[in-house]
Amino acid sequence: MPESLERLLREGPMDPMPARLPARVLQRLAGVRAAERRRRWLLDATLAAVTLGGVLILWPQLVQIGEQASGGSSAGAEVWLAQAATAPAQTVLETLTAAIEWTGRLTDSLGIAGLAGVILLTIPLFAWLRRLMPEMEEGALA
Amino acid sequence: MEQGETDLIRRASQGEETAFDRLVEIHTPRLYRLVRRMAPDRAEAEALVQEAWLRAWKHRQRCSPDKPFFPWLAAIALNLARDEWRKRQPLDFADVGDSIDMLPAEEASIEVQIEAQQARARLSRYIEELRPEWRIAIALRYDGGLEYTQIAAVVGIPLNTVRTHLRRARESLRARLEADDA
Repeated sequence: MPESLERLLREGPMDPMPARLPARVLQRLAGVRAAERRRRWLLDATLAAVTLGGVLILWPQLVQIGEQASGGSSAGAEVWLAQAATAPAQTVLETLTAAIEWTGRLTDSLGIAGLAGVILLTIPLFAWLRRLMPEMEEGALA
Repeated sequence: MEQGETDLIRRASQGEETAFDRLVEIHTPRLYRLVRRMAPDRAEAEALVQEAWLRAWKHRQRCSPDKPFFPWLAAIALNLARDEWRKRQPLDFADVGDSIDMLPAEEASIEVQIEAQQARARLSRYIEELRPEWRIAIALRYDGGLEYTQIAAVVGIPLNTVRTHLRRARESLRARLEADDA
């Protein structure tokens, strides 16, 4: 008997795998994936609604941002491009300074509704960014 | 590890369902064999196999295509089996394999086949009665087909401890089988 111990051990357990087991696993996986898709769709719909709400609340400020960015007209953009071509470092510095000043003024004028709009836009942004990141390690496996 | 499997693991870890399903088809028989050694009956072994695959799908991004897939899967199954053992304190040693319709394929006499069946049944029972850490080592080595280093990594113990567990488990099993023969 001792010499056959290795052979007996390698023969494995008495009962064979149920033939339908892989199919049952695949069936349960299909169920889990369908549930995942439903959850993801619901989450995306919710986040889209939240984003839309944020955009609507911030619409006046967004229009203002658009005007500021273009300098009120395409002529402003052409002037900026011409300046950037002749003195790039100086132009970038002036633009950044102006942007910081403008952000300060914008923050002061946002008000409660504006802050709510920013928050509504930030939540979906972080949720979508989180989805793009690889899964974090949570200590020991599974 | 074959190139084809490396590709399957890479695609599965990226969430490709057909690649993951192929891994299920390839590895479920080996996983069942491993888990059956650690579960008290077939029903629980089946449940553990299914749960292990669901958990593997959930954590598929952690699976590295550069490493063999089965030890990773075995680690998940082992953790699940350990959880079940903890829930069932003291350990339940019920249900020794009882199927008699699994005769070896080779042409042996009925007596020899029955004797082999009985030996396997006794061995299964003795393995279930081993200390849990020895039983895990035996299951991973003989049913999972893992190398000693892979067992050490899966269980999280030093390589020498794996050797010791396996040696002591075999000594214990051999002693009990010899006692039966005496």
